[in-house]
Amino acid sequence: MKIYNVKGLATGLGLIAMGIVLTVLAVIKPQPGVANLIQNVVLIALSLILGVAAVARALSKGATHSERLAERDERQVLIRMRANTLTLKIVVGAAAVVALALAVIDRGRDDLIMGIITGSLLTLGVAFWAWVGATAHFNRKL
Amino acid sequence: MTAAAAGLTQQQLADLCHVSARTIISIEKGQYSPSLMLAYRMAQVFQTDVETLCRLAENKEMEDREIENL
Repeated sequence: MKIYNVKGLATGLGLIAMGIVLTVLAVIKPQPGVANLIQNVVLIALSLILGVAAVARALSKGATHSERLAERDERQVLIRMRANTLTLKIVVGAAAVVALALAVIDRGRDDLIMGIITGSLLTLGVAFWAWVGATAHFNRKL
Repeated sequence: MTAAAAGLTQQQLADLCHVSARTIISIEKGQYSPSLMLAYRMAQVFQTDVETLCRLAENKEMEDREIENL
């Protein structure tokens, strides 16, 4: 039995382990109610099924080859790049909004200046490290 | 040039060019421009050259006109 995809195998084993843990918890500390029972059954079933499927794919040469081909498909690569860029823009925007909100909240405590400074530094910090990470990532990949 | 022109399905063309069928569909619809290597692979499948396959001369003229009108 040969492992063709180590990451996939780890993911699969992790999901199976999660399913087992959920099962044990459901048995040791059962929660009352039909809704909780259904929720637990669905979660456990999904974890185990997806975990077993991931392990099976990781041990299959054909499945691993197909997955790796799909990963290096040039259009998929371009889509991922653009998605990452957009994600970065959204994160920076969200950080700016949070910084502004913090500044407004701090205003109520007469800390407007500190709030603005903290928020701005936070936004700049998030943006800078996100940019460094993204640049390093694409320099390696392209 | 579509896959059917070479007597192939989109999936067969994708397999020969080592890309996904979705990529071939996007290329045929004009939504995605293939890389040089992919264009070369496709040209080999269609037994033509990259210039003819990608209609480079026509596209160049169109682009030149667009730039003139900027």
